Amino acid sequence: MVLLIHGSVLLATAREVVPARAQMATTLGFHIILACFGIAFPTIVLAAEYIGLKRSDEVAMTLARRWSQALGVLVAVGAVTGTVCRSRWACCGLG
Amino acid sequence: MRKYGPVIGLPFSVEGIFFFLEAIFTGIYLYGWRRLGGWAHFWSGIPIAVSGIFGALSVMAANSWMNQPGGFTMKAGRIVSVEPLKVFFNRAAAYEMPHMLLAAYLVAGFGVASVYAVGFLRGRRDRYHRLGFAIPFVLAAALTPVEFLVGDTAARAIATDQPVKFAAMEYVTHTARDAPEYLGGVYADGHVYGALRIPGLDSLLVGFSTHAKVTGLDSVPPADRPPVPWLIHLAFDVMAGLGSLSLIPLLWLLLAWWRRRALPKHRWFWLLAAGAGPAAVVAMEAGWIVTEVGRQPWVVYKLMTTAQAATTNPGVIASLSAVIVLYAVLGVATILILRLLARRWRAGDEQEAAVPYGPPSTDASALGGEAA
Repeated sequence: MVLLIHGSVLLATAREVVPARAQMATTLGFHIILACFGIAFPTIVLAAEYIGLKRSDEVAMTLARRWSQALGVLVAVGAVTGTVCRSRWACCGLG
Repeated sequence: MRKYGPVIGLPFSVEGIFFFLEAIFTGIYLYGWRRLGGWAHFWSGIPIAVSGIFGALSVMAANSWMNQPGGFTMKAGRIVSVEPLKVFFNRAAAYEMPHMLLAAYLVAGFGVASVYAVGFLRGRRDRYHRLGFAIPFVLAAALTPVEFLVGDTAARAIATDQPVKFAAMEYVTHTARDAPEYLGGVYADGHVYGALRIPGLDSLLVGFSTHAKVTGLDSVPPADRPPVPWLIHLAFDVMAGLGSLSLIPLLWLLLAWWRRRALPKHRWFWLLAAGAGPAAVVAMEAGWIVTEVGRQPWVVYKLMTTAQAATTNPGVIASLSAVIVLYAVLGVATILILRLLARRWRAGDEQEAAVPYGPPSTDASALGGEAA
C-alpha cells in the first residue's frame, strides 16, 4: 500500500520535475514511518513498564523488555535513513 | 534553498540535539534492563520519550515554517537577522505540530497493536497477547478523536493561511459561496468528474455556514497552482476517510468494556484492529502528500519555488535508482530482523544480547516488579 502511494507520487512528479523531487519523496516517505516509531513507541514501552512496576505484573514487564529491543532496531534504522535525509538537506544548504 | 539556510537550519540543528539525546538514552535504557533497579530503569526511559517528542516538534517547526515563513529580516536578498522563536512558533506550527505528533502516536500505537491483533486472529489469545494488544491500542484509539478535532481545525486554518492548497484539497475550482464538498473524483481542465457532490458542505465546514466564501484555484494564475490537484484531493480523502473509519474500533472497544469489562470477542473487531496499523501508516503518508504536494509550486510558501531549490545535478537519476534499491533492501531487512526477534521470543529464548566488558547483570532487578 505504501509502495502504491509512493508509486503514484513518483508518477505525478516524474514528468513535472525532476528526479530530485522523487528522491526527496523516497527518502522522506520512508524515514517518516520510522520517525513515527521513534517518537511514539518509547511512550508505549514505558506505559508497559509502568504497569509492570506498579502492579508487579510480569507479563507487562516482559512486553516492555521485548518491545524495547524492537525499539532499538527501529531507532537504529531510523538513524540511518534520517542521516540520508539530513545529507540531502545539507546539499541544499539546510543542514 | 541556500538562501533560507540560516533560518530553516535552526530547527534542524535543534532536532539534531534531541536526536542524539534520544539515541544516548535508548542505549542506556536497553543496556540497563538487568543493571538498573526497577524505577531507576523506568526513569532512564523518560528522556527517550521526551526527546522523541521535542525532536518531532523541531522538524515540524521547519516544515510548518515552509508553509508560513516568517521571523527573519531580509536586506538586498540576504537574510540579515533571524528571530528563532518566531521561526519555531510560526503561524502554521500551532496546528501542524499537534497534528503530526498525534499521527506518530496513531502509527506506532495501531502499528504495534495490529501485530498482536494478527496473533489473536491466529489463536494466540493468552494474557500476554491481550495485554500486548491493549496497551498500544487503547493509547492510539483514545487519541483518535483528538486527532480528528486537530485535523478539522488544521483544515480550516489552511483554508485561510494557504487557500490554494485548500482549494486543491477540496476541488474548489472557483472562489464562491455555497461551495460543494466533493468525495473522491478526478479533476481535469477545471472540472470535477466522478465525485460524490454534497452541496454547500465545504462552505459549512470552512465557515460554519453554507453562505461562507471559499477561495478557489482560480484566485491565482495557473503557474501558481499545485500541478496535480487530483493527487492532493484523493490523498486528503484517504486520510480523512481512514481517520473516520478508525473511530469504529474505538466505539466497539468502549461498548465491550462498558458491557463486559473485557476486549471485544467478535472476529470483525480483530480484523479491523489488524488493519488499523497499516491504515494509520497510509493515512499519515497521505497527509504528508497533502501538505507537501499541496504547497507546490512553492517550497517556501510564496517566497521560493521548488524549481529554484531543487538540484539539477545530472547524476540524480542514478542516485535515485540507488536510493530506491537501498531502501527496499533496508525495509525488507528491518522486517526480517523484527520477525526474527518475534520468533526468538516465542521460542522463549530470552537471553539478552551479551554486552562486551559490561558489568555482570543482577537477576533480581531483571524481574523489576519485585522492586516496586
